[in-house]
Amino acid sequence: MVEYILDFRWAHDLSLSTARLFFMAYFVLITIFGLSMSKEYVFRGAEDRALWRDLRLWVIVIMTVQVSLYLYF
Amino acid sequence: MQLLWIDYLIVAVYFVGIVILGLYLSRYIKESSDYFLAGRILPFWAIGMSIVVSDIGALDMLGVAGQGYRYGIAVANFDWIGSFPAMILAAFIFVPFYWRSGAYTIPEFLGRRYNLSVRTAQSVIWILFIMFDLGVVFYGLGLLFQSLMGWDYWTAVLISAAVIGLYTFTGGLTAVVLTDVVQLVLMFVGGFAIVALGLWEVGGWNALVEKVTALGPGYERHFDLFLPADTATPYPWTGILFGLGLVMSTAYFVGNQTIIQRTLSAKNEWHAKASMLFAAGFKAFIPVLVVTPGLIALALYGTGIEDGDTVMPMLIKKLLPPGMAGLMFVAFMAAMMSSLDSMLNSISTLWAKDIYQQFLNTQASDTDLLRVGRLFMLTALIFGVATSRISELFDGMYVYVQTLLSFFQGPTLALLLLGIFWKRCTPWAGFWGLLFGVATAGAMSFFADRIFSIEDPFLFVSFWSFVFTLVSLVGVSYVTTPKPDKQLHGLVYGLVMADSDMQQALRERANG
Repeated sequence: MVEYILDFRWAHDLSLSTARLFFMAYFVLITIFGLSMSKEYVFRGAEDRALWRDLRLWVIVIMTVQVSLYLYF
Repeated sequence: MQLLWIDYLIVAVYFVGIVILGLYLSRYIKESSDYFLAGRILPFWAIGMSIVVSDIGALDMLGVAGQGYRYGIAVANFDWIGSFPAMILAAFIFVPFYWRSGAYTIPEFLGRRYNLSVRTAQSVIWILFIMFDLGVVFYGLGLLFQSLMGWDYWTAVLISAAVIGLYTFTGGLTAVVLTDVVQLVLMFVGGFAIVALGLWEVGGWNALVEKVTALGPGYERHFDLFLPADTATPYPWTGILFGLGLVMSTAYFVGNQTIIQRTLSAKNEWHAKASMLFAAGFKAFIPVLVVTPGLIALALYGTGIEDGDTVMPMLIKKLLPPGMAGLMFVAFMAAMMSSLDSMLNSISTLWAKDIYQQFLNTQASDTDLLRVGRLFMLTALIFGVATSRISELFDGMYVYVQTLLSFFQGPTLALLLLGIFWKRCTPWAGFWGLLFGVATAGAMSFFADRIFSIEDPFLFVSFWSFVFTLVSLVGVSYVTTPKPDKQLHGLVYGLVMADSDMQQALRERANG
């Protein structure tokens, strides 16, 4: 029983497609987290409020690359 | 490898240029914060590039290429799922907390949140780890010199140590970060050169895939990021998602002193956050530089190479025409030197702030801290050089270091997470949770053959040590006394978030 849990043997029967779904769900959650940051918080300390300084846009770019890589490979 | 005068010239210009830059920047070192945190004036792009280059040093250039040779592209998970999500979490949750607190080290932050015992335990763990790691990186550096240039091992290591020591000693974090920027550019140029020439030799990407998968049943999954949960390799998808994605990578980017110290040098909170996200952008390219060469070696040499760590030097010898060796050599030197200088700067900060100032000289002046930090940097450098040959005893340096990291990364993440988000978490829960977590990780590694079915289960060990530490933190917290809210202002989510309020709260507490 201990090995069944610690060694993740419960997952041995899951397909790789299911695994991909788990990964994608994780990426979506992280993206939502990044986008949920308030404008005030994201720009705190910034010299100005230019569009490129909006860190939420950076999150979108980064996670788009991430999702693309995990869909391709 | 036949070297031309131009190769030697490139190497010489690099060494002299880096030293001159370091010496020039030493004029800005007036007090300890200039040395340890670059006077908190650095922009996001310099910090971001420094984070990337500090992260991919000798271990990645040599070790990950070897892992790519053995296990395929699944190793790229370490730079993709093992970076992007963690860096976003670090940028928006942890880095702003650290930056506002004005702390120099992660143990210092944990000490403020928990107690001196936690701070000391964390510092000692990090100092020991970095000490050991210095030897591993110096060994990789010596190996590369020996293999590529045919130089004597000790001559190569001693010359490199002298150059690194000189600019790190004089210029502090500013020199480390700015030389890292130069080194990142060199690494990318050199790395892409070897990949481009390798793919040309193999016949392109499609030919690479065909040749590798044709090697037999064991190589069919060499281009899959997802390996089955029952794979015998160290990288089943369960380990990658739970061990790497959720715990190890997060612990690395929110609790690693060499990484976080750079963000603390940012000129304001936005630059601190942006530096992490900027670094994440570069991380997307790292597997191209470090994993692809392993696959190229598989296509060119077949399955007969026993020591994966020799794959990269072999490729350089085979692929590079005379005249380009100097540039490539400099690229690899840059990768190794950037890791070493970061470790040296961090270990000197840990010693000066967490050990010397806390135990050896509580009344230490700023000048004392600067002097002691520099002296300890030199001591660590000598220790790293002297112990570098120990790495020879272990096959697969990367996995070995990851195994060591997994012992305390999970517990540290648990401490940081509950420390920031749960004010009921008590100081003694932090101490006992850390000890219990590290002990659990050690025990699981010791009995790995009985518990786990995969090879080198450091990803699983990391995940479970995190879970067990969380449980023990909660358990001990309910039977011990928490700190009053006033002492947690500025350290726990929801108890003062604005920079000015946080600084005021920390000042009040420091003054009793």
